[in-house]
Amino acid sequence: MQPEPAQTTDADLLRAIAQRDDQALAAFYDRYRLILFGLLVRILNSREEAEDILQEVFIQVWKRAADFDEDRGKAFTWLVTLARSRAIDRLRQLSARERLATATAQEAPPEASDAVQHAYQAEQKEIVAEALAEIPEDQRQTLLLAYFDGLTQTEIATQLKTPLGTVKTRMRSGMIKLREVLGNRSESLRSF
Amino acid sequence: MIHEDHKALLPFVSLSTIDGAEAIALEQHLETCADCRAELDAWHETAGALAYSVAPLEPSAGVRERILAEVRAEAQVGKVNNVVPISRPAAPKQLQPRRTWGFEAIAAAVIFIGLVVGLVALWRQNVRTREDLARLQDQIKVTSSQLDQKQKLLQLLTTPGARMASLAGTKEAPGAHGMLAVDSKSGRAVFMAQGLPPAPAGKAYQLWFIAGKRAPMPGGVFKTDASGEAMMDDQLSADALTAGVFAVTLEPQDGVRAPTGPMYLLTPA
Repeated sequence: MQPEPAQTTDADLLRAIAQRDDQALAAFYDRYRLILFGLLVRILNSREEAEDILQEVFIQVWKRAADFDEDRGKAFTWLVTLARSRAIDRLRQLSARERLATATAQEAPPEASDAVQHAYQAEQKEIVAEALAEIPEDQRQTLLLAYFDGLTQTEIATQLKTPLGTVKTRMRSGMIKLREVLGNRSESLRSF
Repeated sequence: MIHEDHKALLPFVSLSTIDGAEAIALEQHLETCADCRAELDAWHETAGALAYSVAPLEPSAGVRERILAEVRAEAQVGKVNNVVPISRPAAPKQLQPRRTWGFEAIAAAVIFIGLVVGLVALWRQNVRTREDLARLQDQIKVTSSQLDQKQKLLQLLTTPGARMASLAGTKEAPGAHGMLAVDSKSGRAVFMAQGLPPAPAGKAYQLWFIAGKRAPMPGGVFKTDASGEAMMDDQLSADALTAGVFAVTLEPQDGVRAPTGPMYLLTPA
Protein backbone atom coordinates (compact mmCIF):
# COMPACT_ATOMS: atom_id res chain seq x y z
CA MET A 1 0.00 0.00 0.00
CA GLN A 2 1.54 3.32 -1.03
CA PRO A 3 1.62 6.15 1.51
CA GLU A 4 -0.09 9.29 0.29
CA PRO A 5 2.13 12.29 -0.53
CA ALA A 6 3.90 13.64 2.53
CA GLN A 7 2.46 17.15 2.09
CA THR A 8 -1.06 15.92 2.81
CA THR A 9 -1.37 16.74 6.49
CA ASP A 10 -3.79 15.09 8.87
CA ALA A 11 -5.71 18.35 9.08
CA ASP A 12 -5.99 18.44 5.25
CA LEU A 13 -7.35 14.91 5.25
CA LEU A 14 -9.86 15.67 8.00
CA ARG A 15 -11.07 18.76 6.13
CA ALA A 16 -11.57 16.62 3.03
CA ILE A 17 -13.37 13.94 5.08
CA ALA A 18 -15.67 16.63 6.47
CA GLN A 19 -16.50 17.41 2.83
CA ARG A 20 -17.49 13.74 2.36
CA ASP A 21 -14.34 12.64 0.52
CA ASP A 22 -14.18 8.88 1.10
CA GLN A 23 -10.72 8.66 -0.51
CA ALA A 24 -9.44 11.00 2.21
CA LEU A 25 -10.97 8.70 4.82
CA ALA A 26 -9.23 5.74 3.17
CA ALA A 27 -5.91 7.64 3.27
CA PHE A 28 -6.44 8.59 6.93
CA TYR A 29 -7.23 4.94 7.73
CA ASP A 30 -4.12 3.73 5.89
CA ARG A 31 -2.01 6.21 7.79
CA TYR A 32 -3.11 5.21 11.29
CA ARG A 33 -4.57 1.71 11.05
CA LEU A 34 -1.42 -0.03 12.35
CA ILE A 35 -0.84 2.03 15.45
CA LEU A 36 -4.54 2.25 16.24
CA PHE A 37 -5.16 -1.44 15.78
CA GLY A 38 -2.09 -2.25 17.91
CA LEU A 39 -3.49 0.00 20.64
CA LEU A 40 -6.98 -1.53 20.45
CA VAL A 41 -5.67 -5.10 20.59
CA ARG A 42 -3.47 -4.12 23.56
CA ILE A 43 -6.52 -2.75 25.41
CA LEU A 44 -9.12 -5.33 24.41
CA ASN A 45 -6.85 -8.36 24.09
CA SER A 46 -8.96 -9.55 21.17
CA ARG A 47 -8.48 -8.98 17.45
CA GLU A 48 -12.19 -9.42 16.82
CA GLU A 49 -13.25 -6.81 19.35
CA ALA A 50 -10.43 -4.52 18.21
CA GLU A 51 -11.53 -4.72 14.55
CA ASP A 52 -15.07 -3.95 15.59
CA ILE A 53 -13.97 -0.84 17.48
CA LEU A 54 -11.56 0.16 14.70
CA GLN A 55 -14.48 0.18 12.27
CA GLU A 56 -16.66 2.19 14.69
CA VAL A 57 -13.86 4.72 15.21
CA PHE A 58 -13.43 5.45 11.51
CA ILE A 59 -17.19 5.72 11.03
CA GLN A 60 -17.07 8.28 13.86
CA VAL A 61 -14.22 10.07 12.08
CA TRP A 62 -16.41 10.22 8.96
CA LYS A 63 -19.28 11.70 10.95
CA ARG A 64 -17.32 14.02 13.22
CA ALA A 65 -14.36 15.19 11.11
CA ALA A 66 -15.83 18.69 11.08
CA ASP A 67 -15.54 18.79 14.90
CA PHE A 68 -11.76 18.48 14.77
CA ASP A 69 -10.12 21.76 15.78
CA GLU A 70 -6.52 22.03 14.64
CA ASP A 71 -5.83 24.74 17.22
CA ARG A 72 -6.66 22.40 20.08
CA GLY A 73 -4.16 19.66 19.25
CA LYS A 74 -2.92 17.05 16.84
CA ALA A 75 -5.29 14.94 14.76
CA PHE A 76 -3.44 11.87 16.01
CA THR A 77 -4.33 12.78 19.60
CA TRP A 78 -7.97 13.36 18.63
CA LEU A 79 -8.07 9.99 16.90
CA VAL A 80 -6.33 8.09 19.68
CA THR A 81 -8.53 9.69 22.35
CA LEU A 82 -11.62 8.69 20.36
CA ALA A 83 -10.36 5.12 19.86
CA ARG A 84 -9.17 4.58 23.43
CA SER A 85 -12.36 5.98 24.89
CA ARG A 86 -14.48 3.54 22.84
CA ALA A 87 -12.16 0.65 23.66
CA ILE A 88 -12.28 1.37 27.40
CA ASP A 89 -16.09 1.58 27.26
CA ARG A 90 -16.18 -1.80 25.49
CA LEU A 91 -13.65 -3.25 27.95
CA ARG A 92 -15.79 -2.19 30.90
CA GLN A 93 -18.84 -3.80 29.27
CA LEU A 94 -17.10 -7.13 28.84
CA SER A 95 -17.15 -9.43 31.82
CA ALA A 96 -13.90 -10.89 33.10
CA ARG A 97 -15.02 -14.28 31.76
CA GLU A 98 -15.57 -12.95 28.26
CA ARG A 99 -12.22 -11.23 28.33
CA LEU A 100 -10.51 -14.44 29.35
CA ALA A 101 -12.31 -16.37 26.60
CA THR A 102 -11.38 -13.87 23.91
CA ALA A 103 -7.81 -13.73 25.17
CA THR A 104 -7.36 -17.48 24.90
CA ALA A 105 -8.99 -17.53 21.46
CA GLN A 106 -6.67 -14.83 20.19
CA GLU A 107 -4.82 -15.62 16.99
CA ALA A 108 -1.19 -14.79 16.37
CA PRO A 109 -1.22 -11.24 14.97
CA PRO A 110 0.14 -10.73 11.45
CA GLU A 111 2.94 -8.25 11.30
CA ALA A 112 2.40 -4.75 10.00
CA SER A 113 3.07 -4.75 6.28
CA ASP A 114 3.59 -1.14 5.34
CA ALA A 115 7.32 -0.51 5.57
CA VAL A 116 7.15 3.30 5.58
CA GLN A 117 4.44 3.52 8.19
CA HIS A 118 6.11 0.84 10.23
CA ALA A 119 9.48 2.59 10.20
CA TYR A 120 7.92 5.91 11.17
CA GLN A 121 5.87 4.42 13.97
CA ALA A 122 8.82 2.33 15.18
CA GLU A 123 10.72 5.59 15.62
CA GLN A 124 7.86 7.07 17.67
CA LYS A 125 7.64 3.87 19.70
CA GLU A 126 11.31 4.15 20.58
CA ILE A 127 10.92 7.77 21.68
CA VAL A 128 7.97 6.96 23.94
CA ALA A 129 9.67 3.82 25.27
CA GLU A 130 12.73 5.92 26.19
CA ALA A 131 10.49 8.50 27.86
CA LEU A 132 8.70 5.79 29.86
CA ALA A 133 12.05 4.35 30.91
CA GLU A 134 12.88 7.67 32.57
CA ILE A 135 9.79 7.46 34.78
CA PRO A 136 10.13 5.63 38.12
CA GLU A 137 8.72 2.09 37.97
CA ASP A 138 5.89 2.64 40.48
CA GLN A 139 4.67 5.72 38.58
CA ARG A 140 4.97 4.00 35.19
CA GLN A 141 2.97 1.04 36.48
CA THR A 142 0.00 3.22 37.51
CA LEU A 143 0.04 5.03 34.14
CA LEU A 144 0.04 1.81 32.14
CA LEU A 145 -2.68 0.18 34.25
CA ALA A 146 -4.87 3.25 33.75
CA TYR A 147 -4.15 3.80 30.06
CA PHE A 148 -4.14 0.25 28.70
CA ASP A 149 -6.20 -1.70 31.23
CA GLY A 150 -8.80 1.01 31.79
CA LEU A 151 -8.61 0.67 35.58
CA THR A 152 -9.90 3.46 37.81
CA GLN A 153 -7.70 4.83 40.59
CA THR A 154 -9.62 2.77 43.15
CA GLU A 155 -9.17 -0.41 41.10
CA ILE A 156 -5.45 0.28 40.74
CA ALA A 157 -5.15 0.86 44.49
CA THR A 158 -6.88 -2.49 45.11
CA GLN A 159 -4.78 -4.33 42.55
CA LEU A 160 -1.50 -2.92 43.84
CA LYS A 161 -2.61 -3.08 47.48
CA THR A 162 -1.58 0.56 47.78
CA PRO A 163 -3.44 3.48 49.44
CA LEU A 164 -5.62 5.48 47.02
CA GLY A 165 -3.78 8.71 47.86
CA THR A 166 -0.46 7.11 46.92
CA VAL A 167 -1.90 5.93 43.58
CA LYS A 168 -3.11 9.46 42.81
CA THR A 169 0.28 10.94 43.68
CA ARG A 170 2.15 8.41 41.56
CA MET A 171 -0.20 8.91 38.64
CA ARG A 172 0.07 12.69 38.73
CA SER A 173 3.87 12.61 39.14
CA GLY A 174 4.16 10.06 36.32
CA MET A 175 2.10 12.20 33.94
CA ILE A 176 4.07 15.34 34.82
CA LYS A 177 7.35 13.51 34.23
CA LEU A 178 6.09 12.00 30.95
CA ARG A 179 5.00 15.42 29.70
CA GLU A 180 8.35 16.89 30.67
CA VAL A 181 10.39 14.16 28.96
CA LEU A 182 8.22 14.10 25.82
CA GLY A 183 8.34 17.90 25.74
CA ASN A 184 12.11 17.69 25.40
CA ARG A 185 11.64 15.38 22.43
CA SER A 186 8.76 17.27 20.83
CA GLU A 187 10.70 17.76 17.60
CA SER A 188 11.08 14.03 17.19
CA LEU A 189 7.56 13.17 18.30
CA ARG A 190 5.92 14.87 15.38
CA SER A 191 2.77 14.09 13.51
CA PHE A 192 1.88 14.39 9.86
CA MET B 1 -13.41 23.18 44.70
CA ILE B 2 -11.72 26.13 43.07
CA HIS B 3 -9.86 26.45 39.79
CA GLU B 4 -6.54 25.04 41.05
CA ASP B 5 -8.26 21.98 42.50
CA HIS B 6 -9.99 21.28 39.20
CA LYS B 7 -6.75 21.83 37.30
CA ALA B 8 -4.98 19.24 39.46
CA LEU B 9 -7.49 16.60 38.28
CA LEU B 10 -6.86 17.16 34.56
CA PRO B 11 -4.06 14.57 34.13
CA PHE B 12 -6.48 11.98 35.55
CA VAL B 13 -9.14 12.93 33.02
CA SER B 14 -6.74 12.23 30.17
CA LEU B 15 -6.33 8.71 31.62
CA SER B 16 -10.12 8.35 32.23
CA THR B 17 -9.58 7.50 35.87
CA ILE B 18 -12.04 9.85 37.57
CA ASP B 19 -15.77 9.41 37.79
CA GLY B 20 -18.80 10.20 39.93
CA ALA B 21 -19.28 13.59 41.56
CA GLU B 22 -15.69 14.63 40.88
CA ALA B 23 -16.14 14.06 37.14
CA ILE B 24 -19.48 15.92 37.06
CA ALA B 25 -18.05 18.91 38.95
CA LEU B 26 -15.04 19.02 36.64
CA GLU B 27 -17.22 18.77 33.53
CA GLN B 28 -19.21 21.78 34.75
CA HIS B 29 -16.00 23.69 35.42
CA LEU B 30 -14.60 22.88 31.96
CA GLU B 31 -17.68 24.38 30.34
CA THR B 32 -16.69 27.79 31.64
CA CYS B 33 -12.89 27.60 31.99
CA ALA B 34 -10.89 28.05 28.76
CA ASP B 35 -7.62 27.75 30.69
CA CYS B 36 -8.50 24.27 31.96
CA ARG B 37 -9.79 23.23 28.53
CA ALA B 38 -6.44 24.16 26.97
CA GLU B 39 -4.59 22.40 29.78
CA LEU B 40 -6.72 19.28 29.27
CA ASP B 41 -5.88 19.30 25.55
CA ALA B 42 -2.19 19.32 26.50
CA TRP B 43 -2.67 16.38 28.87
CA HIS B 44 -4.50 14.45 26.13
CA GLU B 45 -1.42 14.99 23.91
CA THR B 46 0.77 13.49 26.62
CA ALA B 47 -1.52 10.54 27.29
CA GLY B 48 -2.05 9.99 23.55
CA ALA B 49 1.69 9.50 23.06
CA LEU B 50 1.42 6.30 25.13
CA ALA B 51 -0.32 4.74 22.13
CA TYR B 52 3.05 4.71 20.38
CA SER B 53 4.43 2.36 23.01
CA VAL B 54 2.47 -0.60 21.62
CA ALA B 55 3.50 -2.78 18.66
CA PRO B 56 1.71 -1.79 15.45
CA LEU B 57 -0.56 -4.53 14.11
CA GLU B 58 -2.23 -5.08 10.76
CA PRO B 59 -6.02 -5.43 10.90
CA SER B 60 -7.83 -7.66 8.39
CA ALA B 61 -8.29 -6.12 4.94
CA GLY B 62 -12.05 -6.53 5.44
CA VAL B 63 -12.14 -3.73 8.02
CA ARG B 64 -11.12 -1.11 5.46
CA GLU B 65 -13.65 -2.46 2.97
CA ARG B 66 -16.46 -2.45 5.54
CA ILE B 67 -15.71 1.13 6.61
CA LEU B 68 -15.67 2.41 3.03
CA ALA B 69 -18.80 0.44 2.10
CA GLU B 70 -20.66 1.91 5.08
CA VAL B 71 -19.68 5.52 4.43
CA ARG B 72 -20.43 5.20 0.70
CA ALA B 73 -23.85 3.71 1.46
CA GLU B 74 -24.54 6.53 3.88
CA ALA B 75 -23.44 9.13 1.33
CA GLN B 76 -25.76 7.52 -1.22
CA VAL B 77 -28.73 7.69 1.16
CA GLY B 78 -27.82 11.33 1.86
CA LYS B 79 -27.90 12.07 -1.88
CA VAL B 80 -31.30 10.43 -2.28
CA ASN B 81 -32.61 12.40 0.65
CA ASN B 82 -31.34 15.65 -0.86
CA VAL B 83 -33.25 15.20 -4.09
CA VAL B 84 -35.95 17.87 -4.26
CA PRO B 85 -38.90 16.99 -6.46
CA ILE B 86 -39.25 19.52 -9.27
CA SER B 87 -41.98 20.12 -11.79
CA ARG B 88 -40.60 19.46 -15.19
CA PRO B 89 -41.99 21.42 -18.11
CA ALA B 90 -44.25 19.27 -20.18
CA ALA B 91 -42.21 17.43 -22.76
CA PRO B 92 -43.37 17.35 -26.34
CA LYS B 93 -45.70 14.42 -26.91
CA GLN B 94 -43.37 12.70 -29.35
CA LEU B 95 -40.58 12.53 -26.76
CA GLN B 96 -42.66 10.70 -24.18
CA PRO B 97 -41.50 7.11 -24.16
CA ARG B 98 -44.62 5.94 -22.37
CA ARG B 99 -45.95 3.75 -25.14
CA THR B 100 -42.63 1.93 -25.45
CA TRP B 101 -42.55 0.85 -21.77
CA GLY B 102 -43.52 -2.68 -21.11
CA PHE B 103 -45.37 -3.80 -18.01
CA GLU B 104 -42.15 -5.20 -16.51
CA ALA B 105 -40.35 -1.87 -16.87
CA ILE B 106 -43.19 0.01 -15.18
CA ALA B 107 -43.36 -2.54 -12.39
CA ALA B 108 -39.60 -2.36 -11.90
CA ALA B 109 -39.75 1.44 -11.77
CA VAL B 110 -42.58 1.34 -9.22
CA ILE B 111 -40.67 -1.16 -7.07
CA PHE B 112 -37.51 0.89 -7.36
CA ILE B 113 -39.27 4.11 -6.35
CA GLY B 114 -40.98 2.27 -3.51
CA LEU B 115 -37.62 0.97 -2.30
CA VAL B 116 -36.02 4.41 -2.47
CA VAL B 117 -38.93 6.01 -0.63
CA GLY B 118 -38.85 3.25 1.98
CA LEU B 119 -35.10 3.61 2.37
CA VAL B 120 -35.34 7.38 2.82
CA ALA B 121 -38.19 6.96 5.32
CA LEU B 122 -36.16 4.41 7.28
CA TRP B 123 -33.11 6.62 7.22
CA ARG B 124 -35.10 9.61 8.45
CA GLN B 125 -36.71 7.54 11.16
CA ASN B 126 -33.27 6.34 12.19
CA VAL B 127 -31.97 9.92 12.41
CA ARG B 128 -35.03 10.96 14.48
CA THR B 129 -34.58 7.96 16.78
CA ARG B 130 -30.95 8.78 17.30
CA GLU B 131 -31.79 12.39 18.10
CA ASP B 132 -34.46 11.28 20.56
CA LEU B 133 -32.03 8.86 22.13
CA ALA B 134 -29.38 11.57 22.50
CA ARG B 135 -31.94 13.88 24.15
CA LEU B 136 -33.05 11.13 26.52
CA GLN B 137 -29.46 10.32 27.39
CA ASP B 138 -28.84 13.98 28.23
CA GLN B 139 -31.94 14.04 30.43
CA ILE B 140 -30.87 10.84 32.16
CA LYS B 141 -27.44 12.32 32.77
CA VAL B 142 -28.91 15.46 34.36
CA THR B 143 -31.45 13.49 36.43
CA SER B 144 -28.85 11.02 37.52
CA SER B 145 -26.53 13.84 38.56
CA GLN B 146 -29.33 15.50 40.59
CA LEU B 147 -30.25 12.18 42.19
CA ASP B 148 -26.64 11.51 43.00
CA GLN B 149 -26.33 14.92 44.69
CA LYS B 150 -29.53 14.42 46.67
CA GLN B 151 -28.44 10.98 47.81
CA LYS B 152 -25.16 12.44 48.96
CA LEU B 153 -26.97 15.14 50.92
CA LEU B 154 -29.27 12.58 52.52
CA GLN B 155 -26.34 10.36 53.36
CA LEU B 156 -24.49 13.27 54.91
CA LEU B 157 -27.51 14.47 56.88
CA THR B 158 -27.95 11.02 58.40
CA THR B 159 -24.27 10.65 59.33
CA PRO B 160 -23.83 10.70 63.11
CA GLY B 161 -22.14 13.96 64.16
CA ALA B 162 -23.13 15.82 60.98
CA ARG B 163 -23.42 19.58 61.47
CA MET B 164 -25.86 21.85 59.68
CA ALA B 165 -25.89 25.61 59.18
CA SER B 166 -28.42 27.90 57.53
CA LEU B 167 -27.49 30.91 55.44
CA ALA B 168 -29.87 33.82 54.84
CA GLY B 169 -30.03 36.15 51.85
CA THR B 170 -28.40 39.57 52.21
CA LYS B 171 -29.67 42.81 50.65
CA GLU B 172 -28.27 41.57 47.33
CA ALA B 173 -30.80 38.68 47.32
CA PRO B 174 -33.24 39.04 50.25
CA GLY B 175 -35.32 36.03 49.17
CA ALA B 176 -32.36 33.66 48.88
CA HIS B 177 -31.33 31.09 51.44
CA GLY B 178 -28.81 28.29 51.75
CA MET B 179 -27.96 25.26 53.84
CA LEU B 180 -24.60 23.66 54.54
CA ALA B 181 -24.23 20.14 55.91
CA VAL B 182 -20.78 19.09 57.12
CA ASP B 183 -19.45 15.76 58.32
CA SER B 184 -16.85 16.92 60.86
CA LYS B 185 -15.15 13.54 60.81
CA SER B 186 -14.45 13.21 57.09
CA GLY B 187 -14.63 16.89 56.13
CA ARG B 188 -17.24 16.18 53.46
CA ALA B 189 -19.73 18.98 52.93
CA VAL B 190 -22.80 19.49 50.79
CA PHE B 191 -24.12 22.98 50.15
CA MET B 192 -27.55 23.89 48.77
CA ALA B 193 -28.84 27.30 47.79
CA GLN B 194 -32.15 28.63 46.47
CA GLY B 195 -33.35 31.98 45.19
CA LEU B 196 -30.01 33.30 43.94
CA PRO B 197 -30.05 35.35 40.74
CA PRO B 198 -28.15 33.85 37.77
CA ALA B 199 -24.44 34.72 37.93
CA PRO B 200 -23.38 37.11 35.12
CA ALA B 201 -21.03 35.83 32.38
CA GLY B 202 -17.55 35.18 33.74
CA LYS B 203 -18.80 35.17 37.34
CA ALA B 204 -19.83 32.46 39.80
CA TYR B 205 -20.78 32.17 43.44
CA GLN B 206 -18.15 31.12 45.97
CA LEU B 207 -18.61 29.69 49.45
CA TRP B 208 -16.47 31.01 52.35
CA PHE B 209 -15.63 29.63 55.79
CA ILE B 210 -14.99 32.12 58.59
CA ALA B 211 -13.41 31.07 61.88
CA GLY B 212 -13.11 33.79 64.54
CA LYS B 213 -11.09 36.76 63.38
CA ARG B 214 -9.09 34.84 60.81
CA ALA B 215 -9.31 35.67 57.12
CA PRO B 216 -12.19 33.91 55.32
CA MET B 217 -11.13 30.54 53.86
CA PRO B 218 -12.19 29.83 50.24
CA GLY B 219 -14.65 27.06 49.45
CA GLY B 220 -16.08 25.77 46.20
CA VAL B 221 -17.39 27.77 43.28
CA PHE B 222 -20.86 27.13 41.85
CA LYS B 223 -23.51 28.43 39.49
CA THR B 224 -27.26 28.22 39.83
CA ASP B 225 -29.61 26.51 37.43
CA ALA B 226 -32.43 28.33 35.63
CA SER B 227 -34.62 28.19 38.75
CA GLY B 228 -31.96 29.81 40.96
CA GLU B 229 -31.05 26.56 42.71
CA ALA B 230 -27.59 25.12 43.23
CA MET B 231 -26.08 22.14 44.97
CA MET B 232 -22.39 21.41 45.38
CA ASP B 233 -20.06 18.95 47.09
CA ASP B 234 -16.96 20.20 48.81
CA GLN B 235 -14.13 18.71 50.81
CA LEU B 236 -13.21 20.93 53.75
CA SER B 237 -9.73 21.39 55.14
CA ALA B 238 -9.14 20.93 58.86
CA ASP B 239 -9.04 24.74 59.23
CA ALA B 240 -12.35 25.20 57.41
CA LEU B 241 -13.96 22.65 59.74
CA THR B 242 -13.40 25.08 62.65
CA ALA B 243 -15.51 27.77 60.94
CA GLY B 244 -18.73 28.88 62.62
CA VAL B 245 -19.78 31.43 60.02
CA PHE B 246 -20.37 30.81 56.33
CA ALA B 247 -20.94 33.20 53.47
CA VAL B 248 -21.44 33.24 49.70
CA THR B 249 -20.09 36.00 47.46
CA LEU B 250 -20.12 36.65 43.72
CA GLU B 251 -16.60 36.22 42.30
CA PRO B 252 -14.72 35.58 39.03
CA GLN B 253 -15.79 32.14 37.77
CA ASP B 254 -12.49 30.41 38.59
CA GLY B 255 -12.75 31.42 42.25
CA VAL B 256 -10.44 33.58 44.30
CA ARG B 257 -8.32 33.13 47.44
CA ALA B 258 -9.91 36.10 49.29
CA PRO B 259 -13.43 37.53 48.81
CA THR B 260 -13.69 40.50 46.44
CA GLY B 261 -17.35 40.64 45.37
CA PRO B 262 -20.72 41.40 46.97
CA MET B 263 -22.10 39.02 49.60
CA TYR B 264 -25.34 37.18 48.78
CA LEU B 265 -25.70 34.69 51.66
CA LEU B 266 -24.48 34.78 55.25
CA THR B 267 -25.00 32.79 58.44
CA PRO B 268 -27.45 34.84 60.57
CA ALA B 269 -25.88 36.39 63.69
